[in-house]
Amino acid sequence: MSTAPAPVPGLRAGVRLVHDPVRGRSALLHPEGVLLLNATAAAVLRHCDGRREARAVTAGLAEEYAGVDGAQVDALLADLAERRLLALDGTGAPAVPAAAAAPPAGAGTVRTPAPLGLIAELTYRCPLQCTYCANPVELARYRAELDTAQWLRVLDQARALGVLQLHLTGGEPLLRPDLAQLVAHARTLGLYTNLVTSGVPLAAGRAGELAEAGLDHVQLSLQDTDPNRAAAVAGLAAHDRKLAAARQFTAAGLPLTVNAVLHRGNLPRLGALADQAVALGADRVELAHVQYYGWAWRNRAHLAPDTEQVRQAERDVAAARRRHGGRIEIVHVAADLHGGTVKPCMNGWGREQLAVAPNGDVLPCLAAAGLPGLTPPNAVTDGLAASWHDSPAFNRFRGTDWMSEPCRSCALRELDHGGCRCQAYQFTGDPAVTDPACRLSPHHHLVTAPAPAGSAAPVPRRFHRTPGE
Amino acid sequence: AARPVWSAPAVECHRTGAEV
Repeated sequence: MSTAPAPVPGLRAGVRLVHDPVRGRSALLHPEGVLLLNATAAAVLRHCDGRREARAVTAGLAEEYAGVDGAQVDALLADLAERRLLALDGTGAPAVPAAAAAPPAGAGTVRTPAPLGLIAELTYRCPLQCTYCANPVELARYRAELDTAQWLRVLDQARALGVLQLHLTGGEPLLRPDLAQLVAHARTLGLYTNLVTSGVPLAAGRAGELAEAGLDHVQLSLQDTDPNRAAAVAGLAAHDRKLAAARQFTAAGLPLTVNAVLHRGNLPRLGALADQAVALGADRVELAHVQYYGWAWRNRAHLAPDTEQVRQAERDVAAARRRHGGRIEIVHVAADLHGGTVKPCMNGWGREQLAVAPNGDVLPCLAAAGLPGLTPPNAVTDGLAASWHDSPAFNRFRGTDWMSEPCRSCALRELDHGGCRCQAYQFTGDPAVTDPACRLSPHHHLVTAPAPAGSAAPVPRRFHRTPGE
Repeated sequence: AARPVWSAPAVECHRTGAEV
């Protein structure tokens, strides 16, 4: 009988340890997540170098602390391994702490809430025309884009506010020739950088250039496993180019997540999408049911699955997890509008994340520009701090005071934050009512009714609409 | 979601990104 080898903890690829002077605490940064650590958790990680066994980690801690509890150390290591942040087999990297940039001198007291994530929509230009795109339908309003110097200032201001994680998205962020420069600057600030891309415009050598600049992680979209069906959704035969891009990213040593937006048309191939991600060497695959904003809301009648398809998707995800074991993390983003409960959209309005549109508009979520009476502040003219803390847009639905019944007296109001304001507006015309996805909403019947067919076929995403659409 | 005396390690998990 053999015994299990002793755990040798080190960081998995795509995970970094930083100290954040804004919060005065350390954090583990990883794809689409931040794990804030107390002092002893940070100390445990500083002893993880991918070479020493766990018992040596505990022994090292005993030189720093009185009364170290080895069982607590082992439990933390096991928990972080379960989250796929630590490798325990000796293949992990040393957890060398880096310091994120401090706020500029004279910045004064750090105000709360301090945001963790910035979603930087660098451009809405895109070679694809996906019918489920969540970008605004009024794309032509955003032809003007911040220049390089303006984006660099946005990143500086974001770090000073407390942001630790930067999502570079669009549109197609690879269409920005200054992308590597933005990544490099973010890296000097200590930000974790995540590129969200179609991969289509990836030129030879660009993946290596981005890796050299310090890019931490890539999320690459796949529309389908069937090239013809993928082209029908994206408006372009790009499937093979995407597979080639995935291989370029992994060859450059970049951790990869495959993103697949799930809808009625590709749900039968959910399992095949997971298999494709494994074949590409991805670390994660995100199987995300379409969220109905922008073009996706416009095309909801053509995209929305029925309840049985949603249940079958859950069974298919479970089967894929059994099939692939620990080789890949399979993330399943459950379908909106099914189940009678609401999602805590953005984890609360103006609470943990902010988005900056290509023209510098600062928004509490990606779709908020469509809400009536909401005038977005602008990163260039107003600054990020004033936008986040003081603007009417960010304070409109912050906290719980704005809520009406049944949210106001609901025990879950601090947990689900009242759901999604954009969803409330889209279904009812009033962004301040209870999210109609909630079974307690008087408007819940609007969610359960079939989506009205606005067009005979899905409308492709584009900058200009043609007459008659 | 003198040596200092040890206290239990604790973490807070926060998700970011469009699919938070």
